[in-house]
Amino acid sequence: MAKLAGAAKTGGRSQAKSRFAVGVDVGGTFTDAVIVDTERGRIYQSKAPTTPQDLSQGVFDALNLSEGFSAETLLPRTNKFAHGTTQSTNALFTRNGAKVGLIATRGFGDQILIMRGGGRVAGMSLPERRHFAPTYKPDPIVPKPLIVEVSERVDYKGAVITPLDPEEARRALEALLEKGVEAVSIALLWSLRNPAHERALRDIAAALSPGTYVSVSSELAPVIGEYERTATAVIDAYVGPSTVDYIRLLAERLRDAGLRSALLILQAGGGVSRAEQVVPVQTIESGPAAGILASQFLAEKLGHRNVIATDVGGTTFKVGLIVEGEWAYARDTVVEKFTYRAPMVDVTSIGAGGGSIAWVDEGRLRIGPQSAAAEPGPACYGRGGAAPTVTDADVVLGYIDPDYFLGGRMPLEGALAEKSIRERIAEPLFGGDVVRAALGIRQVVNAQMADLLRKVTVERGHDPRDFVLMVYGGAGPTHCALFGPEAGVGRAVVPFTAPVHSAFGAVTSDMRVTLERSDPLAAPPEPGRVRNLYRALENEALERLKAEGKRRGEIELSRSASLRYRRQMHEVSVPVPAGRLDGKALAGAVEEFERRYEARYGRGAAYREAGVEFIGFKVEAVGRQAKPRLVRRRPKGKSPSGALKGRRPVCFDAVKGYRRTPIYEGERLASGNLVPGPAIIEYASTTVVVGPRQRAEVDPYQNVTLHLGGGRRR
Amino acid sequence: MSGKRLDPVTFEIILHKLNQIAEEMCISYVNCSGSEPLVQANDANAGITLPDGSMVVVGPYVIIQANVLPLTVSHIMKRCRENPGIGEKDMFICSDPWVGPIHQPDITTVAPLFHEGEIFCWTGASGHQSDVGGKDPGGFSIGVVDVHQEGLRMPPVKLVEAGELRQDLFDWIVNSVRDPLVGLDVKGQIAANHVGQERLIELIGRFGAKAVKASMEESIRYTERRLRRRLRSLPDGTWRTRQHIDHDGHAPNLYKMECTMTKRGDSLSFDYEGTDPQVRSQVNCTYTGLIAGTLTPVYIMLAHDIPWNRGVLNLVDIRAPEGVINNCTYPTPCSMATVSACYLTLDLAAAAINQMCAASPDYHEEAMAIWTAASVAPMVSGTSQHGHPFSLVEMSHFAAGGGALTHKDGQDSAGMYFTTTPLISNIETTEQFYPVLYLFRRNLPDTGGAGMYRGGCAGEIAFIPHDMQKEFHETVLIGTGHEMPNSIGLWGGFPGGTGRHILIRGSDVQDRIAKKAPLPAALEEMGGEQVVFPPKAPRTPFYPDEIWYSNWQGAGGYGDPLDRDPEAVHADLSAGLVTRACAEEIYGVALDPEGQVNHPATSALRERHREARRARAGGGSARPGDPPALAGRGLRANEYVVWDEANGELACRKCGFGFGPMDADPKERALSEDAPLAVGGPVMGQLYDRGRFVFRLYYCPGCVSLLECEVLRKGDPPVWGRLSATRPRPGRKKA
Repeated sequence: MAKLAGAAKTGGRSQAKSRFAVGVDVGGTFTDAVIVDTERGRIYQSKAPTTPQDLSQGVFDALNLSEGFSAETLLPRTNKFAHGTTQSTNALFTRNGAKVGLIATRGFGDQILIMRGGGRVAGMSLPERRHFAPTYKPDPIVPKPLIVEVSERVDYKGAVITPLDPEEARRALEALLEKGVEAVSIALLWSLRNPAHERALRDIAAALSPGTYVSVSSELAPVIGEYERTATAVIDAYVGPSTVDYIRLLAERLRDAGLRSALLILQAGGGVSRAEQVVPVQTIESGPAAGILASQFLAEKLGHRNVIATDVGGTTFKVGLIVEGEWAYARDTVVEKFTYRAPMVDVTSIGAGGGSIAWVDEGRLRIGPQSAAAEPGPACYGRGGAAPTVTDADVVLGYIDPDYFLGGRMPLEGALAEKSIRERIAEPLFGGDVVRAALGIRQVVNAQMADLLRKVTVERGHDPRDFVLMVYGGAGPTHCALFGPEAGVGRAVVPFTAPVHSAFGAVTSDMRVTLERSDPLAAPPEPGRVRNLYRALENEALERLKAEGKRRGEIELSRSASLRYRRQMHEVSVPVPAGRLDGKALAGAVEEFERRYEARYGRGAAYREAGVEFIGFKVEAVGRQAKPRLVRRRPKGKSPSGALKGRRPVCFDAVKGYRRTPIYEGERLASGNLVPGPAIIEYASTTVVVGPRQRAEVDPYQNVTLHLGGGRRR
Repeated sequence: MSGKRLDPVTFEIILHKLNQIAEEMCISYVNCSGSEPLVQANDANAGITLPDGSMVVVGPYVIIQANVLPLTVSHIMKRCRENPGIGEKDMFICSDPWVGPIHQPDITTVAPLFHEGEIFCWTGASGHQSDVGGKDPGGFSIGVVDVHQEGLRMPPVKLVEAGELRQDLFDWIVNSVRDPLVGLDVKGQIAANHVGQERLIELIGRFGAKAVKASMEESIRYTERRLRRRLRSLPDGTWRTRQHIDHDGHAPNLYKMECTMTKRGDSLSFDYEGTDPQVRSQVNCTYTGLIAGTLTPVYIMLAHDIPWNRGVLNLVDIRAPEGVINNCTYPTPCSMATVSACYLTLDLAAAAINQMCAASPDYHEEAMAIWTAASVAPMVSGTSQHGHPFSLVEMSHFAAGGGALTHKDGQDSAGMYFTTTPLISNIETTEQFYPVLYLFRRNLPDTGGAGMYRGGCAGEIAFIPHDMQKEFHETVLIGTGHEMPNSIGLWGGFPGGTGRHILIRGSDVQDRIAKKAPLPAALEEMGGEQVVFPPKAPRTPFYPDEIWYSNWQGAGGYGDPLDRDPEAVHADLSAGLVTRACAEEIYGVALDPEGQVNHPATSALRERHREARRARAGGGSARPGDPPALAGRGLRANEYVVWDEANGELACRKCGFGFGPMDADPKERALSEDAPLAVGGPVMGQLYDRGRFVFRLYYCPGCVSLLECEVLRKGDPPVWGRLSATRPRPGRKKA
């Protein structure tokens, strides 16, 4: 399909034969592909419907839809194939994962159910936490009958108090297998100190049932805290089988189609990993992470330091922040109220998107959180979906041209959109007025989106007026004209990669391995022990990246340690120098800890008498990947008339009704063009709505900046 | 909105910012602290007040703690202005329960923020320290007769002077306590104030002092306006509730507390007349605990969507006679206020508010039974495996049960009611710091109050000494509600299970460790001699061959257990939250040998239960029920009683039986029976039974539905149970 007008070069050396870098992202509704021609400096993008029955089909559909390419011609010439999958995320959110059993230490099987007493409100905002009545804990992933306890006990030093009885272990695993579990999670007390019992159980499980997926807590998260470590193992087991099967099938199909480079899978921590090394729990919420990576890449190019990155897809609305040029890891990894241990880029989401279903609730117009998703999709898809969605409202109001959806590849049926809104919303609520009903749907969903923007900024102490929106995902540019101003944001950038932003993020990502181990040691720790800890972590990280094709010289290693005063729970992370660590270097880390502590908490807050402890040791290894280099286009003047493709009736408010509004072809807009609102800018994969009294400006990279009115001039 | 310059967007942003600053202060404090109640259970809070102490924002942690700040600030403003003076960058520390803190361990530090030479506002942080000296370690002194035995009681003193920590004062505090890491906590409170003031200065720099001050003042007026509107939309009436304290630390003496809540229009008052006089033991609370305990459920139930600030207190009238248990006078001890008088004040007020909400068509779904109604914790002290003195306040009970709602079950391990951010420690974290080894921590079946909707279950823990440096540790016990339950149910719901403290002496646990044999993982497996300890007990040695066992109270249920969906009972059975015996005896659910519900047999069993109720019960009115056609009609006063418009009287919602005029007490015409507490479940005071309590059950004479159950001290009159003075208002919009 349409190639993008934006041209790009990459920093990498071009190779005669393998010259393409490919990013593919599977979302709830669409599967997106970005192809970077590293030789000719061009970027191509395409979009195909997601195929829930067999997600890999959608991946091939997207590749085959790219203009001038087919999977067969492209894949043999591809030297980087990075993929973001929602397989694991969907399995967790829709509670459609494997039947999981849990093996726990005798007496402690309930910790995963007790959730440290905080599961009722984990991850919720303060206003939500204050309203007790509607709060509830999530349904357990492992119900009580599938939790089996074994008599074994290790203490805080790693000493075995009660050895594991192999016979009892076998019986426990057999009991679970007899109940038909599809995956087993193993999480014992103090396995971070002494993983022998967990490993023995793992081996017995492998011997009893070689095909059964097994998650081991000490392998996934060797850190102190049994609830979070257990949750990591349980969630990994829950999403593991389907994720591994999916990735294996996709890798096979890609190989059969000629891909010779490794399949790289994007992880939630903001890096990629080779398919065979993927840890399923770490792929949960990887798609949003990719969007943030791409936003950071573009924001840096455009000189925006503070960005609210918003992704409006078919089913969800996701928001992440870039503050002073940096994204942040989530403070706690909390998904569906489960707190677990896996690095994750901080992104918040609600169920609202193009596919969100509008419904009537005792006289109130409600939108979502149910979504028509890709199947059957909005009513206008004509696939049997009868429920009216946000996309249907956009069609009825004239924002989306039914004949030019996905650049005309997927004609929509406007009559079906109109019919479903009339029957389900307009007649019960608006006296049959379809236009008012459609405008109402848009208003409600945009208010929900604006609320989330305020929530992630204001509640974290930021002022939305200091931010620029980065708007992507198929439905984002169609809606930001409304939700942006409502949240107080003055400018929005629709990046040239908007429809396929996460796929673009996958292409821009680096190889990243983050390894962490808890080993509480009183300061000053014995340098030899710390050296051994880092040596082991660094060797493992290097090995993983080398296995992923990186040479030692291409890998950046950084060490850090988390320190605290004795008996505190909160740790302060400090960098640890490279090279051979001696007492002086470690004393330096303690000094740095106290310096940072006082900087954060005020002079005099330090309390050396309490004693300082080293708790966690962390190594981050990054294998840099070549980045696409964007080419600036010279300005071509302000008038957008060269891109005008016609006018059609579009409705912005109920009183004025439909007005003939200019329609521009986005791909033909040139650098420097100014488009006054109201106007519609149509791209092959998305539609940008410019509201009345707003204007759009095309920058030298082909990004569109919307001036929304309001916000703060900087 | 007052003043033209304060636009709604700025007001909202500043309000959010103030809340966010309070939360950041809380996080900073807890991050810097080294006390188990803080770092593991968020038993702390922070906030911002106006110069006169009026609360502007309360942080997200323990709500009771934040109410400490206004009282402390207003005391300082009255007492310290001349001498020692209040200057820029000063901070005051205080632990006097007659000033602000609920009890001595809740040390608080407050700091004035100056702007252009004037006090602009105050910041403050308050939290439960691991020790304050006194008779027993851990902050709760058991068996005392005056407050001087309870340890450090600081009036507000200047801890930081013009930005400099007063080292002499700091050393004095650390000297006065057993655990030197209290020093870390004191520094944590300083840090919280530093962080809060830094952020406030940024906020003033950004929006201007005028806008920030105007927003602070406006937020209080805004809260008043919103809360007035909400109160007007609730039914008028008077509600009475009662609670008991079963042990005073000296002996199992019983005390009664009562609350009468009256709501008329937009005024709300709580009167604790009827509460027993103060006691020469640590169970009392001062005026500070009375206010904090009463306000907590007002915030949660009536103001969840309204800013929590002084505006709430402005509308609520709180009174208790001077010298009663929850308004005690000097030198009455009160170190266990948070476990007894203050906590039960909260439960009393909550129960009254819940009844009012349940009687409102609009707020019916907000009403709930009482959550785990008091703390139950063992506290261990001694020398840690790392060679340091320690005192461990075991906080697992903060994974408290949640009260049942009018339409769904309470949550198991829902978290303590008095905090919006509950959390308990991982077992591993506790074992890393302290010389103990846990044998188990789990949900305890049959402790969630039975009902049409079940209350959340309690949990049980057991641990042994481990890696000891000395011959023994010492354990102090705190708790209330072992002989009778405090977690009262709502409209026929049973109370949650009671607490227990058991010491197992002479167990073979060390032999098992020596032989590498499995450790006991249930109370029944422990062998040795089980010694039942009272809810409050002074230091007791804790030897290596001994095991401490504790369980806390469950939460109350809602509605008649015989009305519970049998499949929900089955689900509880398979989740290990209800036993088969209770499924049959309390819920009347018959199970076939495979453990599935036998529906016909269940209907028959429930019918037999109802017949048995009628046979056992006496009293009530012999008047036959009105025509059943009325069933289910009319405005609901509670689950079983409706206001029958046509006949102008209260009637049973299920069968139409008439209970008399609107201001009648339906209990007067109901059938009733006095049963032993044990009918409520297997953990219902059995180990502590002195024959002093009855479980009084009230049934509808028509359909024998369980209308209400009361925990009554033998010989006491029933709790006055009129539903409300006016009929519920139809169709008033929720405000």
